[in-house]
Amino acid sequence: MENYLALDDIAKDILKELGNIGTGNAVASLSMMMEHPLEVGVPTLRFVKYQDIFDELDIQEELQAGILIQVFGELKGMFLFLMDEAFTRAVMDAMLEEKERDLTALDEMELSVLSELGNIMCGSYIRALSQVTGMETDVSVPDMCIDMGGAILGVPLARHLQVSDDVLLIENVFRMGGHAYVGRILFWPEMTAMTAILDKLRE
Amino acid sequence: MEKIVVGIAEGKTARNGQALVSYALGSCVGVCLYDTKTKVAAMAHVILPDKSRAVNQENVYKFAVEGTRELISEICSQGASRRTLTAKIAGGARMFRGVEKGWDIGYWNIQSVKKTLQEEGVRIAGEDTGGSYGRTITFRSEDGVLEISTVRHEMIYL
Repeated sequence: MENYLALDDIAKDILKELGNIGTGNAVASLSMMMEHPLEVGVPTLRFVKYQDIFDELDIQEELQAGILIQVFGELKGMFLFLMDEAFTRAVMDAMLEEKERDLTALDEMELSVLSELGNIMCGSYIRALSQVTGMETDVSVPDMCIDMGGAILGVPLARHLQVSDDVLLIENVFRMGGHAYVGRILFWPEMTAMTAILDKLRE
Repeated sequence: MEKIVVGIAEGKTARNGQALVSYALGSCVGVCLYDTKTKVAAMAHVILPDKSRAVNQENVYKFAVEGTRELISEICSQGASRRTLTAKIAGGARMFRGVEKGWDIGYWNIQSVKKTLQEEGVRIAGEDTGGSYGRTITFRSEDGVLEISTVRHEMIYL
């Protein structure tokens, strides 16, 4: 397989299903932590040229909380968990106390709660993938950043550009309590890892 | 003021009061060139230090070294003179602390831009680089002023 565009429909379905399983698990963890049900939307597979990724996600200058985790082992890639401002506030109100917060000046406690949240979500996402595919994985310590969406996204993008101009994103959007809180889990598999996943699941 | 958007891995020029804009630079660097005499402005939005870092090397504006060189020759072909050319640079932040350990791409982007400008004999008239925050930059061809906005600080004018 030369590039992502060569993926057939079955491969696309497999990847979508993986996104579903992973996100389902991750969102279940989040929902438990927050003691609040969450709705998960249908996953989107995005195959884009690197130049178009910002327009696709349309969060360039929007304030976002991003948690980035690297995955090593057989399932190589990156995870970026993005929450919009309202979602980030709701999460902190639910897990700490309800109050006005300046997201650009959070204290240590608030930062570590967010970081732990990302850790648990990505952890459960990856565990689910690991179980389904039977592939070994290891993850890095999560890292967090609250800033413009575009500036956050640029970091995994720069890494990815070293190996390819084509980006495949498995994106799941979820919402809470009918509010327009938007969270996204982006799984950013490396080409080789993806080929391996597909080969394994097609057996 | 007419705004021309410079997307990721693009390089563009502006004149007659137009302004060049790059949104949400994180570890990327915005390289801005200005010729006071002809009032031509140029901006590139580079992502990686140099060609050796990437498999696909087609687009020179992806890279700090090659992109900066290309931008200089582009602005000169638009009538700017090398002798009156100055540069302003912004970006190259380290957005994530841990994950980027040993891989501070923002830092290397800045170093590569600076080295190339020096080699090409273009003076740096101002910079807002490094740190750990994203920047949206607007470069005015009218007077060569670079406006930098962030989510954490007051607007900076270089």
